[in-house]
Amino acid sequence: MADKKTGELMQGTLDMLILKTLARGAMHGYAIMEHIQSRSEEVLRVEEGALYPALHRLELRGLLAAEWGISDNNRRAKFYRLTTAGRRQLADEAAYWARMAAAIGRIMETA
Amino acid sequence: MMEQLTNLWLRLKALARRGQLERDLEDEMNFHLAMRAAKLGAALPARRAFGNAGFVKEQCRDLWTFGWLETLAQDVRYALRQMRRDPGFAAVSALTLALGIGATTSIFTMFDAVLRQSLPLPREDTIASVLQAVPGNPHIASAISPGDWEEIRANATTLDSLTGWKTVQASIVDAGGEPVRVEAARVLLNFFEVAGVQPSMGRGFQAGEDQPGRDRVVVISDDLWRHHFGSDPRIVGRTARVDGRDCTVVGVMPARFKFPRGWRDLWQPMALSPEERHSRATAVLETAGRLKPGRTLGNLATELNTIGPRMEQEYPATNQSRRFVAWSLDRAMLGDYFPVYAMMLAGASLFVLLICCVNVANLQFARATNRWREVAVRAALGAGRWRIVRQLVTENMLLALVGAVLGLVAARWSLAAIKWSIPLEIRRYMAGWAGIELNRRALAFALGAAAASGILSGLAPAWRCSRNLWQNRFAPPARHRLRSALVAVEIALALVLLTGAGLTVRGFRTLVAATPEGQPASLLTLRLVLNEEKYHENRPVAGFYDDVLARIGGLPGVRSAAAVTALPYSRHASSEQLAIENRQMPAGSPPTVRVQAVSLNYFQTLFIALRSGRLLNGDLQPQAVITEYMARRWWPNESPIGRRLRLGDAGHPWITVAGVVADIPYSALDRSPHSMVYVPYAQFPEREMNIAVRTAGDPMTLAPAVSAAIRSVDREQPIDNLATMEVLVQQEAFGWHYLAWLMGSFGVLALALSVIGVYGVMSYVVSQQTHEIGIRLALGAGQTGVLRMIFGRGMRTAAVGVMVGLIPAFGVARVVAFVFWGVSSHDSLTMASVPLGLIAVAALATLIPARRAMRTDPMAALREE
Repeated sequence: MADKKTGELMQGTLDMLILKTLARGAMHGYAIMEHIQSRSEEVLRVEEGALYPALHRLELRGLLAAEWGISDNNRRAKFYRLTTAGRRQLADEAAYWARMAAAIGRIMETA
Repeated sequence: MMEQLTNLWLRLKALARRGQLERDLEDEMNFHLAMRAAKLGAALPARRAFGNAGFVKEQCRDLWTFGWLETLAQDVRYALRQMRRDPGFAAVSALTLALGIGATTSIFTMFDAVLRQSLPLPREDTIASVLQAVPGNPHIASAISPGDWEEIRANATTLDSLTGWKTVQASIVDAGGEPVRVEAARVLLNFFEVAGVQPSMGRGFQAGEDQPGRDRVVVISDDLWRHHFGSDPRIVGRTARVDGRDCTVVGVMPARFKFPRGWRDLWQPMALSPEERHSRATAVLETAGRLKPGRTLGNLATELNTIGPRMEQEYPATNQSRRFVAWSLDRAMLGDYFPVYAMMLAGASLFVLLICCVNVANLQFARATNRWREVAVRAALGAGRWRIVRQLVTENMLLALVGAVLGLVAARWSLAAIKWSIPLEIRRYMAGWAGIELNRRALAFALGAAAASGILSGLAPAWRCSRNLWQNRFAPPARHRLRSALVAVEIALALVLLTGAGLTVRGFRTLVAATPEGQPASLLTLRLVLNEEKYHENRPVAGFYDDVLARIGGLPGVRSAAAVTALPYSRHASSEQLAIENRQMPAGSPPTVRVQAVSLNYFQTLFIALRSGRLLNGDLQPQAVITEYMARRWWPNESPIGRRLRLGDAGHPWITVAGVVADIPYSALDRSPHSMVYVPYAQFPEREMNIAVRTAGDPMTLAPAVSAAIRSVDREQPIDNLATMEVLVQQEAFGWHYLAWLMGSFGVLALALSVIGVYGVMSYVVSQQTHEIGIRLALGAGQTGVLRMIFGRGMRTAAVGVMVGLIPAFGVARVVAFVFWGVSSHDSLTMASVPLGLIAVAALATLIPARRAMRTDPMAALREE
């Protein structure tokens, strides 16, 4: 995972990261991208070609709600926020992820 | 669930505000780019880092839209615009397709009703019928004996159960005291269990009710209960007089129960004595059984192939070379010929539809030439080939859809006409007729046919139209080879169909021509079935008929009245084993002959000519008259007069042959005359006989008097099938008449359509070549030369079509020959006249445009450029 395509995210994982990021509050697409990249200390890179379809898909699934607002630099921007269903989904996925990560971690340590 | 609803709602919202979605996507992407540019300091690297913003937008948009559905809507809108622009073309195409779709849908609906819905039994696919094979004819099978039934029921491991029945006619005295003659079935006790349907009121039959004496119970049909017992809610337990015996009505079947075979109004338990139950000599049982889960007809057939020979070894006396077949219930009920009619008509209607499609495709080709510019523009604007083909096919589908709607309207009318035109007798015989209606399945079929014909008639022109573009040659499609090929196909289709139609019509005429010359219009016929209990001795049976014939014969207007076991076209027959004195008859399968017990005046009444010897007389010595065919068959080189024969096994008396009479046809199904023995009924009485009354005037006016004469002998005697002989002949031939009529109509339709096709293409060819023809004429080519060129071209196409069509036409001819006796697949009249006729008609259709080409004014043609 480390060398070639630095941290290309699988779709499911990207969805989860988007949900987690938005748990902090409403954000526009660019900010979400920045946030994921900076929090991962540039390990995870988010492609626009994956980010926006993912956002729209989550919106269509009712996990995100979107509204248009004005950004810090006074431009019209689309802000996404979590819906109740999205929050539930995030909790589920986080729990699942924790379980999986712990399990994989145990194997990697012992082996 | 919630998720899908949200999804749908959001997408619908987006659909309603399509422009908004587009702007939002644009804005979102722009914002992203701006943010990025602000960070990186320049717009261009930002754009580069983004990759293809348009593509991302596209991807997002696809999430929000209904994809192909919206493209389809676009195509349909465009197609509608095209139709408005050229309403003549649209109307002709839609009407042509309507013709084809209407014809196929009518035929489909008709046979769907008869073939599929004839026996509404639960899980019908698990029912199999075990029948006895008829050596030499795989298309018929006969009933089996009770002994064989028991053996198979006990030993067939592929069967869960096996029941049997015998169809009979019975008379029941209804609530009003009137005897009603009904179609009945004597059934084994497990009949209703195997059928899987129980009475809607009361019960089925119980153990012990198949013992003689305890069998006085009946189950009646819903129809009988409603119309003859006034829907009496307390009918169960009541007594009804059936065939002269008091029987208890124990149940009423549900309305839709029509098993076995068409209408049944009465079910009785089949009471068999122990001897009858074990008999292997009398084949009386038709059977049906349930297959074990997972087992198939094929499994059953395989098993029967081992059971048959085993039984042959065990019971050599009765079961020699006796084999059994497993038929589906449908096949057992409808027989093998009906599906062939169905196939012929379905095939014919399908051919008409195909010809319609070819014609529409041809129209499309003509239009494609005018449309290629438009297509070229679309291609230049970036439409892919697939997209263009899809657009063009969508247009056709729309036309076909309009065609389907119109076709359904036409089918509705034609089906009403079909139902109206079927005589009651036939309707009763085929339960499914009542169910002929445009149902959901017919609708689905029409839509399917529309879709298929839309694609079929649109794909080739669309493909063709877009081919040049695909190859980057922006030029109109030039050659007409494909269109000519289509016309050839059309002619081939028409040839096949016309051959089938021609042979069918010819077969029918042969059949009708074979009907007796004995003036069937002045013969009144009816059938009497004497009650078994009342007339169980020979003497009263003969006495009854003597009385009846004497009283009818005495009526004014009656020339003579005769009785016979089975009149021609009465669908009855009786046969016996034949033995000839001092002759070794072939062992194993003893020959059988048709036996007719007749009154002495039968031959005069039916105008059957005496060939040699004498007719029957009142002598007490056993005597017989045989048919010419039989005389030739058994006494090829000698006179049969004075020889003695025996009917039935040893113990029956020897009968002296007194004379030989002419052969007459007995059934339209006959493939040759019968070996037939006429004996006086005084010596060989029969309880069931036909009465034939030769009248001076219209027979039907005498019907009441004849009925009264019979009732004066026995007040309770039911009278069946009172009709003129002419009606019997018509009824017998009705199926064929109908077949011939429909096939003929399809043939005419096919001919008309293909003529239109040939004419259309040749006119088009001429109009496209006006310039070329003009030059030729200007350069000195003679008018005849031009005529010859165009005419030759049309004729070549027609000839190719005829040649291609001849092979399948011979195949069709074999099918028709299977259905109609007397039709040969090498019937030279039809096989020669159809191709020649088609070529002649094609020549005519070519000549008109060819003459127009000939008269082209060279100057005018050249100036057009």
